[in-house]
Amino acid sequence: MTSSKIEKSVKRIIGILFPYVVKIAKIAFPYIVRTARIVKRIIWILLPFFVVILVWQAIAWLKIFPQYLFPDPGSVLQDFIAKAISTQLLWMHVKESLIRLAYGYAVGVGGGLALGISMGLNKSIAKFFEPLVIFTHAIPGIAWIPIAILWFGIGYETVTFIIFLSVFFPVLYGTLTGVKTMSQKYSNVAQMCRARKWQIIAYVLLPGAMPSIMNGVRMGAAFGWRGLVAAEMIAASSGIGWMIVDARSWLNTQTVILGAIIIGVLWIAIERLILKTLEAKTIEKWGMISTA
Amino acid sequence: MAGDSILTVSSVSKLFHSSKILALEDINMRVERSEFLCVLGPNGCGKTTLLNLLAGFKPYFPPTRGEILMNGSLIKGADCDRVMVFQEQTLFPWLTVQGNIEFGLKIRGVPKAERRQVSDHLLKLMELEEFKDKYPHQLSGGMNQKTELARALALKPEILLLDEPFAQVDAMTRLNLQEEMLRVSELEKTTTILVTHSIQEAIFLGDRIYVLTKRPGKIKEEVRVDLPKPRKWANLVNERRFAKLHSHLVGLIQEGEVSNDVKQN
Repeated sequence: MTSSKIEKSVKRIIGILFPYVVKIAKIAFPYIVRTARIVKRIIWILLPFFVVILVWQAIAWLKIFPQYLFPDPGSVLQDFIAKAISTQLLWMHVKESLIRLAYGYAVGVGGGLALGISMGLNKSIAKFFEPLVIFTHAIPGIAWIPIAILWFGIGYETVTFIIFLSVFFPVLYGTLTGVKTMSQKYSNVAQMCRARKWQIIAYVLLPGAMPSIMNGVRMGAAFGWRGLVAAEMIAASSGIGWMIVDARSWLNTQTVILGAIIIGVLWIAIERLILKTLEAKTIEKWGMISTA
Repeated sequence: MAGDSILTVSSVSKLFHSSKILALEDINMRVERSEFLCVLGPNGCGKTTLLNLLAGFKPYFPPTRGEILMNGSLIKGADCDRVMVFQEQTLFPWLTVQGNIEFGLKIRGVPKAERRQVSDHLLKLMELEEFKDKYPHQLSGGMNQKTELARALALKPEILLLDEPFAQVDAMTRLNLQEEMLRVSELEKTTTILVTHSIQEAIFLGDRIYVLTKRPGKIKEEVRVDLPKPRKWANLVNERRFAKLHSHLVGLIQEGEVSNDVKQN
């Protein structure tokens, strides 16, 4: 008798709850589907890396190569934990590198924009600088490292100088092409409004040339990143590049590998967080490039 | 009737030195204040050259011969009393519809509140209110063209110059835009010069029409349009006077075609 009573009340509770459950399920379903899709995508991105790590681990187990030349993933992870948490040395190097990068980028982008706009606006300036720019552009950024060491010594200035050179030329070219190829129609509109020169530059020329400028900034960023690592390997006593070279001389192979991984992760972060956002907020929003 | 002319073009010719093309020859015209003037002619007759000359844009400006007087004084180049709406899209892709409309005012240093007032008025006038925060690439061609018009009107020009502003939109949209144009110009009373190769458009919009010949462009005839405003396409097509004017203008333009063909042979 009691059991039938319990059964009845359970049934009643289910009867009350059921519509709510359906409602919640209906609301939650799209989210669940979406989350599942995202998880699936993440898995597909991570899977290849997982496979590589597995193969790496397998080779390390087989002990074909000595441990000091071919450390296993575990020891790299251990090294990461030691450097990231215990000594926090890793962050010091990353910070150093990023600060140099920021300086080099700032001066390189600023200089490239300024000279690019002046060359695009003024024919005599363009005529004078064009041969020089073409010639200097032919010299890779890292070829300047020796002379930079002689001038600035080992450290900040040299690395920043190399980054500056690597960033400057792509941005200059991007700006120059942007300004030159921008349609006359936009400046006609500005002219009708009696715009002053600086207004034309700020409100028309710069945004109008943005697709091409962004192209230059993107290329410059990639060149600058390579320049940074190379310059630090040769002409610095801190930074992520130096960390790798230093580790090699002590035969800390796991740190060498860790450094390479950090470089890759940092670049992806810069590309995704800074460059992509910059594009999304400008040329993508304005419909000036087709988004793939 | 001759009293209130805002723009006078006397014996203007334009020879492009680089290509040695004589685009315009001995153009004489007068534009009255608040009128809607159409310049009608076939492609390549120098209509656009004429309009760019009036706007003061290089390399069209200055004319090879003759002079252009605005309010009695010689024009010296592009200025904000004459604002042009171009045939192609010239909205700034990086500004919203409202931003584009306010652009000229911002350049002039008009304070923000006042800018908003002007743009709100024009957005309402052009029925663009709900699209004010959209970017040009998100809008249809017709809506972009309306924004172009609004941007030009925001500058409160003394003369509005229109270079085939409806050529790039589809035929249906064009009819609507033309009616809209007429409505707006009746309200704002801006002196307007519109250049077109469409005979119907010239009749529909114009108070007066100058017919140009093929290159070199010369004024063939001045035609007054005696159709009462406001005009609607639906009524106009049944109007006898419309048909008569239309056939007269077709005749004028075809005459030119024939004589030109003979010359070329």
